[in-house]
Amino acid sequence: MNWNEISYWLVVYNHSILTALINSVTALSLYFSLRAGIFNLSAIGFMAIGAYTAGIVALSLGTPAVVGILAGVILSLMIGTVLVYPVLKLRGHYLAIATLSFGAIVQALALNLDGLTNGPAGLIGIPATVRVWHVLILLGAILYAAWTLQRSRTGRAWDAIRTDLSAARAMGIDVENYRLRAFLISTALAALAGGLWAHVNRVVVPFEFGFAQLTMALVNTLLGGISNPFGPVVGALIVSTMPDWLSGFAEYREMITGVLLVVVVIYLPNGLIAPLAALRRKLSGGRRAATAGEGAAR
Amino acid sequence: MTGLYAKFVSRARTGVLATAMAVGTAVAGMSGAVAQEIKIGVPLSLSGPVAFAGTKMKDAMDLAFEEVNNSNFLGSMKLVPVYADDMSSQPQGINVTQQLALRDQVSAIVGYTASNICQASLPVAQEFKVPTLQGDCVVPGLNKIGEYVYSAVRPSDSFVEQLVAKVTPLKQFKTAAVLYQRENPVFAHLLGVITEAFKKQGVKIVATEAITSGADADFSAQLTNIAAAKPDVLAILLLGGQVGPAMVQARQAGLDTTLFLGEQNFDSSEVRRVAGKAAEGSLYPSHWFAASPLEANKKFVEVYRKRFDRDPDTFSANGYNAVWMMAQIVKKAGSGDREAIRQAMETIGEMDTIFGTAGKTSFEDRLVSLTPFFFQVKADGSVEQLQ
Amino acid sequence: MLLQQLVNGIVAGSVYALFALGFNLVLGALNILNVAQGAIFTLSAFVAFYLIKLYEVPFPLALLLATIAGGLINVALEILVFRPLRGRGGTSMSTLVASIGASMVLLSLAQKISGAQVERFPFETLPEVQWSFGDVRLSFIQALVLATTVVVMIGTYVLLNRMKLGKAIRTMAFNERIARMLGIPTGIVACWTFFISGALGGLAGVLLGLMFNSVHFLMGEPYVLKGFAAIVIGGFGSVIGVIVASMLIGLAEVFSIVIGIGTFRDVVIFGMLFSFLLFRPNGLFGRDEELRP
Repeated sequence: MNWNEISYWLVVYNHSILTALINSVTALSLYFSLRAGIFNLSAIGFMAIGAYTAGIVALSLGTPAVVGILAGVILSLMIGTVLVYPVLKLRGHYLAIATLSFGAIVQALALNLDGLTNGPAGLIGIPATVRVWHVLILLGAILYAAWTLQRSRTGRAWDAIRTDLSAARAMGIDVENYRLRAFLISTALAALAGGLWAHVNRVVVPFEFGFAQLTMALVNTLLGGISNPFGPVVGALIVSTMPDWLSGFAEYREMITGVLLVVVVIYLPNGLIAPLAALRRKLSGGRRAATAGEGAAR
Repeated sequence: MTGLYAKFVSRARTGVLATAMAVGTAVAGMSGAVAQEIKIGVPLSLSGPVAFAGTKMKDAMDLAFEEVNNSNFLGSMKLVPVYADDMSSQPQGINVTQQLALRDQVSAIVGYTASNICQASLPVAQEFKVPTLQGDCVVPGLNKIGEYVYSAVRPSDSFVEQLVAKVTPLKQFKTAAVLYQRENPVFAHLLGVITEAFKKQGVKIVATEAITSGADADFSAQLTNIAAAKPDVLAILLLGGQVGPAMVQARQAGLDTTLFLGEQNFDSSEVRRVAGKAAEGSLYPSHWFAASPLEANKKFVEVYRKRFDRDPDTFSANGYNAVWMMAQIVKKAGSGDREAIRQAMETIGEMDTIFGTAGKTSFEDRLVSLTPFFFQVKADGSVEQLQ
Repeated sequence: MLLQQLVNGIVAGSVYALFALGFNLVLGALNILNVAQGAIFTLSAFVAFYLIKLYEVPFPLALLLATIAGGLINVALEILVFRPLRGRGGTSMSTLVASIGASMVLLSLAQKISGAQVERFPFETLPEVQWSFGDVRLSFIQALVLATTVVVMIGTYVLLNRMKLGKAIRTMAFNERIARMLGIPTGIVACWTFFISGALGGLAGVLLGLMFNSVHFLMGEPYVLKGFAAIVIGGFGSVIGVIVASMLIGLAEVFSIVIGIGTFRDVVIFGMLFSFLLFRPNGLFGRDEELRP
């Protein structure tokens, strides 16, 4: 493949790539919570908030994308901070349901608050100023942060909490604090993904922020696996570009994704990236913090 | 909106794009055969919530493409459809548009199913300067996107207004109610249009109720509310698959003598099949109906019936019509060159169509101009045309 | 009019109850939140529809067959998906996700079969009778739904409290290990639980398809989330709770329409859910479960 051909494909698949990269950010949002053992499904709700905020700011104030996206992230963090206290008191299924309903509430509000969100017609004409390299840099930064965190005390605390919460507390880990951090990081990332989404897709409607989209985000994250931060990214890239490389079987796409999901969850609980990670461990010879792999399945 | 982006595109990517074009045309040139093949991109919603419409469009469009080619309508030029599934999702709609434009190097685009996908994808087609004829989106504003984007259907605003103006004196309506679907911008918009139209005719709106989503099936609460207000006429602004159930439930809720009024989608086979007796007396405008006496339409219906063993509905008609309009445009252009096709769209003047009362149409402000039919459903399920 | 709306709400609530009961059963007995319940709901409606339309099977038989089909599909899910997962140490998260995957497969199947079209049961399927009690109208199918819910309620009570299977299920819900130690064949009991749950969901699907004259592959979607709400509000593990909560949800929906905020219904319902989670996480009738970390 020479440079001309590569650049040609980059141009043609530009939007595909952007979508895949943004989906990676959303997948990473889920990753941080899941890593800390929090079954937090609020990502799409915060994504909607991020997208609408970015859109409203850009359309009414005409500012560059950064401003709106940042505003979205800040607003989401504010809401997240209020939400997190009651939510983190819940466990397992209940936390999942609570966060899921948060998303449903946001979508319903977006649909009905016409004055703010223009209701079903949504926001149109948002300048599509976000480029692939913008998102690549952001993604790189997030991955770097995630990688560093994973090997730091915070990462180990999260692993401990995910494996056995009461034991972690007994060991003296400030469980509440670490869970709070994970939740808020997830919130911020989801809002960031939303803001980027708005400036790539130009139109923001409530329809695009529902249960189906949440399902896809979950698929992305879990397919890749949460044993390390590259997992969700790999998962997102594979699934997002599926319409492209699976074009022959387009009608079976949902079915294939569903089967893949079930198979991965049962037989490859650490996700698709686990075999790769294991290989890497073997090759590099050294021992790495073993908790990463084991804990992920639980 | 698109200007800024376009500037970025041209400045930052001229070199790459030029190379891409060179590669593209070289490849295209190599595959040239004796019959000139003109690729037409066809993005449709073939999966997801809007698939019920997209798949119907595709069926009919297949038919149309075959007819165009087999009849030698374009002489030595053949139209090659390149179908793409936007999965009822906006990002995917933009995606496939981009790929049709850049990877598949289509000469023109015909298609699109859902209004919000049109809104997201058409600006992209405009940017890449691909002449586009959208065939199914009726949300207002699409004709303002740019000189490369034309519409083979138009918002039903004027149809509905005309219908209300026509039937109010006829049926002596005094009170009206509206049941609409909130999630869909087309219906939310039509709510305003219809309310105004009734008011202008001196009809009082006694109830307005909303359904939240296209997946809803239970309208009993809304209809009970409406029944309490006893309207003479009820405007039903819902998806085709919901209209039938709504009519049945309306009768069940006590709206025994109320007439139903709606827009084009009252004409789909689903509605009459599902609603049965409940649809009696319903009024609606349509730019097309299966029994339209136009020659071209009769042929279409016959061929469609034979091939698919059912009657065509609005979506099929929209798809079929869009392809034939594109064929006429390509004929005028005389080639598969994008600029030539765009020019042709601008200058084509009168075209044949299976729509409307006259069977002829032209572009006004990049929208087709159409004279609608007005219908009332009879007791036995057949439709009577109102004069 | 208000009385009619009350009836509307209770009827809607009954369908939610039938659906949520199945949900609740599997959740209580096996700690599995089976999102595929929505797909089973939909597929059973399809089974009944095609039986009646293509093979002209009489309605009661079709209803029975579709209900059984729902149960069987759910059992298949247990055997193919949930059991292997349990064997490999699945968490509540991974089972939820696996059920989402299964749901995707089943629904795309439904879409393929139906060609994404909306269908309606043929007209003569049920007598189109309507009774009027003053201001209130009740159709045959509505009455059928109410009657079915009552029968199911009684049946569930009898099952869980009087029958051996029911007691086995309750023991498993309490503690699976103890159940095994007591000699309860947990594998078989699990299959029965899934069967009953699927049957309930399927029953709800057929009745709903009939009542609102529409069968299409997305019909189950709203019910899953409302099922969640019913379980939470009603209280984990409580049959009465789920039923009462479902009625509440049905009524809340209807009355938000009455007072004109109908399209905010998701906000209302999930607001209710949220409030319960915050202030009364055991729901209305829930037993004391370890809900807090």
